[in-house]
Amino acid sequence: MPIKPININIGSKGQKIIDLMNGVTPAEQRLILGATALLTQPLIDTVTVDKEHRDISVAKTVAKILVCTATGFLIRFGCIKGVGYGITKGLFQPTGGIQDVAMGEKYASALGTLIATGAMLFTNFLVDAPLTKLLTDKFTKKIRKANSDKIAAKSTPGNVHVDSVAQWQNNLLKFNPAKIQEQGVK
Amino acid sequence: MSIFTGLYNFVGRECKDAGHVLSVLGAFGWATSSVAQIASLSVNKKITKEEKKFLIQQEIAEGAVNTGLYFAITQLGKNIVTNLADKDKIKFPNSLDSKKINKQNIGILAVVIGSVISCNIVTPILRNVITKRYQEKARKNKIILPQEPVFKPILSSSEIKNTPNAFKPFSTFIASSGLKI
Repeated sequence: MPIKPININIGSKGQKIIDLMNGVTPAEQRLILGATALLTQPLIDTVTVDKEHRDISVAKTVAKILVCTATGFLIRFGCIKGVGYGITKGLFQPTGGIQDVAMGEKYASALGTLIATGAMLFTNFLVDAPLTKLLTDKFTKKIRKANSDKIAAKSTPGNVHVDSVAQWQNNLLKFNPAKIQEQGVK
Repeated sequence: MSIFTGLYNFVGRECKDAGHVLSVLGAFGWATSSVAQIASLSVNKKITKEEKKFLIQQEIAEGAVNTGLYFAITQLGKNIVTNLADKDKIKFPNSLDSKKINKQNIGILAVVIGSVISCNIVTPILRNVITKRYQEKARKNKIILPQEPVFKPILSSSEIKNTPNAFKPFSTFIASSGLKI
């Protein structure tokens, strides 16, 4: 049986998408990655993480994506713009200079991203990690509250459901005498 | 020639193919992110030597998967579409006047799609598998790896200590501690 030769016809809509790719910088690529990550990664957590830890895992994943995408995009974008500005002032020039505008844009994009990667080695610990922790805690609290409301609605007197870690943690806080003593009886 | 001029010349030579730049710099980002995580683990005084050994091994495995898969998938996608474009197997409506630009742009598209597949689908799944495997190995060796700080502001250390074992290993099931740069 003869093998059918591959022939892909892009069409005018496909051509529009391909034309959009002209001049995509690593900063824009990071935004695309972040946006698609929000669609896929929580779903992967839902499938691969067990039921008890699922909510918290999703909260952490979403927090990570939001923070890392924002800092990743802003730092890349800033560095690329900064190098672009430096080039117009005669800085960052390779031997032989920069021939044309298109080459200048590609050069600024590559060098800016390289500098941004160096900068992000520090911001990863100084900005991303604490912000992710802060956001994860906020999301976790919201999830716990939503879970307790759901469970309270389901529960009848004498029949207490504890079907999530968040709920169990909440109960632990409620019935912990040390904590009550520490906070005082209100 | 100064180190900076050497760097500028290198970037000047390599930056002409934008798809290649996205692929190489993305992989470089993953690699540096892993190196930073390993460095921070190795200087962390709060974890014991045994724990460090496990966590560093895990981070190396994750870093290799992240970097290797990103580079392999993006390069494979780019090479396939640019080869097809070279052999005129892909028909562009405006191919007569801008074949070179079309070839480069479809290469960029392949890298962007490849990076989404790699970073957002393949890597998170494999990372969860690696994390589980290392945690099981640690448990067999009776090493309790440090908890991720998700609950720290809400529960005190004594409360965490009193947590039943069934609820302890959150990090077993929670995706990697690494933050993508």
